[in-house]
Amino acid sequence: METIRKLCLAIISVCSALLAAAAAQAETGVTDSEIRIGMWTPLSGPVSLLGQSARDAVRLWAKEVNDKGGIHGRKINFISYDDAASPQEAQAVIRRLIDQDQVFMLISGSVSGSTLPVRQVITRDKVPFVSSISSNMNLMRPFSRYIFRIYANEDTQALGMVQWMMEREKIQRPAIIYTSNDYGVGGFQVFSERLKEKYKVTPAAAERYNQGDQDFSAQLLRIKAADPDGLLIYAFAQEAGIIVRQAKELGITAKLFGGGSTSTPLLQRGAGPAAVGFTSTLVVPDLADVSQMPGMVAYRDKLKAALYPDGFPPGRPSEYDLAGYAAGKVTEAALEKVGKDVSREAFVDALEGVKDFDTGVTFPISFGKDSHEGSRQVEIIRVRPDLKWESVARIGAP
Amino acid sequence: MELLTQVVVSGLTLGSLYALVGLGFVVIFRATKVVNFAQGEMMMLGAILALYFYTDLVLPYWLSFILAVTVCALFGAALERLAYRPLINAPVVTLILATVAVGQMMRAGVRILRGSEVSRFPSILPAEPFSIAGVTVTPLSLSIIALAVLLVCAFMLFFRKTTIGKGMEATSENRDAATLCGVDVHRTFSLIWAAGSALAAAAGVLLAPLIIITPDMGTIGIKGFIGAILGGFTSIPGAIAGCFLLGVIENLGGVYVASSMKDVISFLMLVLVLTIKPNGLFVGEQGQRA
Amino acid sequence: MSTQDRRAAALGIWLLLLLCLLAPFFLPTYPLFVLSLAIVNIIAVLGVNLVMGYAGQISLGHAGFAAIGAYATALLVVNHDLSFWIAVPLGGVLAAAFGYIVGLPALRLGPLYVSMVTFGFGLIVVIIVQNWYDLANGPNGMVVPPPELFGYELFPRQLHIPIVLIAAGLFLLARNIVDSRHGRAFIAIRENELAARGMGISLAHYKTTAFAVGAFYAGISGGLFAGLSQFVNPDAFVFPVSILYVTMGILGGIGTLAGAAVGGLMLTLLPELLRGAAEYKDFLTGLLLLVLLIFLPTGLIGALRRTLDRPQAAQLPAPTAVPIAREEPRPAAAWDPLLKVEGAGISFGGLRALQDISLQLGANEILGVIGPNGAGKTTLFNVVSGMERPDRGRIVFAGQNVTRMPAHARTRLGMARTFQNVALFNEMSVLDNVRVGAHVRLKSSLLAAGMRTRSERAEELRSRQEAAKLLDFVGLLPYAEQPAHGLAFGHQRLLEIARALASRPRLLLLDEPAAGLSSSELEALVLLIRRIRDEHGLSILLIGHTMRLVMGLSHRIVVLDHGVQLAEGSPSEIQNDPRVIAAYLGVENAA
Repeated sequence: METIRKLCLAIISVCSALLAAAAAQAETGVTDSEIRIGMWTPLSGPVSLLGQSARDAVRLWAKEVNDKGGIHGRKINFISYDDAASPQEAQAVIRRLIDQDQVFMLISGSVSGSTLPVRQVITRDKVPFVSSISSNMNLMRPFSRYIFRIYANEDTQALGMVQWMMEREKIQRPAIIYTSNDYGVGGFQVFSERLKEKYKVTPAAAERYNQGDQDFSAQLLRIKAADPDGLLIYAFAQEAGIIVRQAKELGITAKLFGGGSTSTPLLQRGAGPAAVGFTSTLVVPDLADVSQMPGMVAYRDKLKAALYPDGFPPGRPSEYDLAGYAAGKVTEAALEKVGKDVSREAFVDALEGVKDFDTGVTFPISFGKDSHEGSRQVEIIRVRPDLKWESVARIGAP
Repeated sequence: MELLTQVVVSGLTLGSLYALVGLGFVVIFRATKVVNFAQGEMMMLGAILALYFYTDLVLPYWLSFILAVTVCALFGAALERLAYRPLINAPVVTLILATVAVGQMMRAGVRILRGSEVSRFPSILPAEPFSIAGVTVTPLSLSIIALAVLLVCAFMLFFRKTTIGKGMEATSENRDAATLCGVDVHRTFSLIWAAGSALAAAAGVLLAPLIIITPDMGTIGIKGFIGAILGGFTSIPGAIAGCFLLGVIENLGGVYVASSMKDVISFLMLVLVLTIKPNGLFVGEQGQRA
Repeated sequence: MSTQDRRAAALGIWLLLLLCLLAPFFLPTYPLFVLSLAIVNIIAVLGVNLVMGYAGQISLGHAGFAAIGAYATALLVVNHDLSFWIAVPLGGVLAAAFGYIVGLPALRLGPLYVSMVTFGFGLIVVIIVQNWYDLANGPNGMVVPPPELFGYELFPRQLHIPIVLIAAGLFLLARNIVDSRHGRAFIAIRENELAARGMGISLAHYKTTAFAVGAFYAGISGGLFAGLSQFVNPDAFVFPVSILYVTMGILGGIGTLAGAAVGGLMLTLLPELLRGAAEYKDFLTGLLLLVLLIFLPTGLIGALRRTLDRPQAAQLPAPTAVPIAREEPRPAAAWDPLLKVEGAGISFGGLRALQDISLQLGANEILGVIGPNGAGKTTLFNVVSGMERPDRGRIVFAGQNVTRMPAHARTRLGMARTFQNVALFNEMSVLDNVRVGAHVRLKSSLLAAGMRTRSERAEELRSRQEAAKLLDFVGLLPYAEQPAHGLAFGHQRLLEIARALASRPRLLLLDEPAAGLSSSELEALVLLIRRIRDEHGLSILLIGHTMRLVMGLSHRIVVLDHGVQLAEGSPSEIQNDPRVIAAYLGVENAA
């Protein structure tokens, strides 16, 4: 009991001190010398790769800004918390960021499962949020003035893939296997609607599995029985890797395609030689770990120097590195434009004025008054016989 | 008909994975009455160690296998000594939770060391499919089924023929009586945890080429346990048969009912079987129940 | 705990409640939200605690019940325009219904299989809400409008006080249940299923009730979570959440309600404190759980209690000091014979444990049963008391054919027993052991106990007084408040007898009551059994290995050997029966 009381007292005193500090300033999270920017993201658990990528990227960006003297003399004070991809923890953390840390804005965010539950809180409290992880459509439904997204959403990704399958690969009998979470179901819906509306085709087979499954033979057998010539795998890279291999082992000869989450080197590590020819979409112009684009080379060098002098951890840098870094860059541009007199509303206005902004690591980003989707472009990539990804084509604004 | 045969064959392949994992569960459960929720994690550790020996240290396959299994056996015995023995007189639920805690630590520990690395264990057998009577199989999956059967037989012999094995059997049947007969129960428990962990590691190495190696690959472990309950815990062949059956049921349910509901189907099946035959499908009425 | 400690604890709880109620007036939004979240979790942990700590069943799927409560609440509010305050209890009731169903397999299965069934249940609930897209947007989750009260929308800040009040109400309800005959029945099942059955406690009823009540709490917790977070999605109810509930329960101390509160509070705060160490968080929480299990197996509250507990003198008032409700005398000799066993036989796996046993026991008679080890004496007892069902033959008790009647129902008819290997409810106090014995005579319903109605309070007081009187009768009153496992062995035997008497039986079955007693204790026992028969006016079926006891007490004696009835007659006839001497006494004398 004693410890709890002490804990409560400690929390109370910290909070009241912060409150007092907050009262003294003009806009929440902004003082003459700093701007507080907050992030909640999975840093532990199975999807921690996403969160760690985004956190490193934003941290790197903040360091760069601060090294050159900040924005209009204000340094970035970057605060990041782990939400373990748990909705309950996300609920608590978002309030810590908004109410206790009094951040000016939120950046990157978490996976959809723990971003959607706190969307209301963000919108109600009118905190600007530049999202760089969730590609879920419901992040923008209903439209919120305060929420922005860096890269192509799920619909755009799926539409790009469908277009590629039907028009360039001339698939006659498309099939799909997807995970039963928000990501997979969203992809499936776009896939089947688009097929019906534009190409007047119904999927030859549509199979679902549950996250964490490690055997897909039941689904793949049903798909095999339907005899498709193209199979879209709307799954996360780890599971997609097994699916690709099992599909080959069960003698499925259809061409294999993947949703946006499969475009990482992790796919081939799981699938092995069976991955050759697998086609996927990428929401950034090139592969983060091997690209020779100057912006990406520079990012890799800076990340290595700042955080990983002994080499990158597996799977890094990833597209979430790039998207997180781009989110920082866009924020920086908008804050520069707002000028000395910062407010959340002015910042949102400035973001809405961003046009064809080149971050060097993503597609050009544009926002508008009623469009907060930063990019509608996707890159089509394919696994080469040496198991490396290669860029094949670019599909824009379908 | 062709589809049905294919479904059953794939189910058997899946069942052999469950059987490999389930065996370790059974060995530990029978002696200690503990559902080891860390068994899947031990499997994961075995696979990762073997991968390390095989690809990073470039040791031969058989040596990597043996080393991984040995390290895991020692680790299992150490866990028994440090984490489970202090709880030997606690209620079983406490021990189960202890294994949950150990499993979480192993998962998190591997993640700290390796990040979210995804790896594939290079298969030493070709995975190219071929067809027999319209049914597609791979040499890899066939050899896994064979290995599972072989491993089970080896363990049965071990329990029936060797002194250590007999001691473990006696302890499983009746702890007090075993003590009276001069079996050192503490030592036997260490051995049982070591054997269970070794089995888990062996399962991990064998099935790693079929799935992928991640810190979370252990979730397949619980399926082995369910299969074992389905068949009947009190006999090893019964438990193994249950695992194969579970694999087939999952695939049948997945193909002919709804693929996303296959876990639901197998769990309902489990509840049904347990309600009608609490000792499991393949065990007679005399078997004791836990 | 002494009265003083108890008063201090009560004061502490009231202060804590007051602090929680006043929290919105001094806590900023974030800590307040974490506190609300902790309290919502505590409600679920109370449910886990009732199932695990009190009824001894393992639940690894409690998040599934919370999900049912949360989704029911959300759907009722959104689709049917129902008030949040009606939807939450309905969600709780729905969860309770599911709890009842999940509890059903528990009747036939051991605790481990039950844990697997609950584990599977939790998994299935998540899979279903995830795949049932039309129900609640599947994985995308659904928005829940803020709860309304008197036309005002309640955001987390305003919702805090209602949550605290509901939690306090549920806490009180749980405490009342735990402190009633139902709570004692739960603990009795946890401590010793066999003995609990012997006391007339229906395992089926109480196990399913425990699950239903536990699920009700989780359902309410889920509903409140939906209102607090104004969003529900499947990710909020995955397996790690179930494990979290269990961990909270263990951390605080399973089997203590205050433990649920402390554990829930601490483990909700812990992730907030560990936010900085994200990469190591999972590892550290695992380690913490393991260390707690090993070093603090009874949880924080348990450890606290152990340091506070001092050896105490008896505090019960002398039984003569309190007015005792007059016992309504049993109609003496209404049935003669009271018990008839006709041709009973039973086999276990081909082994014939009893063959064609027939005996009669008259009112106020003491019938002894003797025979060498393995003769089938205890099996006969089990058949008579209903622990085993005979393959052949009939058992008639108090004029009714009870052959197919379960044990607990026979206890209700007036049969009570003791056990050969003492089977007490070890963690309960000596007094409460006796009160469990009176279980079948107490009538208050679960609801009455939860609400602590006037009649329930009166009944509880009466049972306390009667139990004290029985303890006085066997000479154990000074130990009334001690845990039963602390008693000396001879005293444990006496406690078993007092417990059996508490159901006010017509027939008392004593299974080797003298085993392990010293010779002076044996003398006292003989006197006691005589007094029981005379003062309580009942019949006694007595199994004995000790000749002195059986010969000295019994009016008639039945001899069993290898499951066969060898002889029957008065003690002197038996002593002179050559077959008996050959089969049994000879062995005895030789030893």
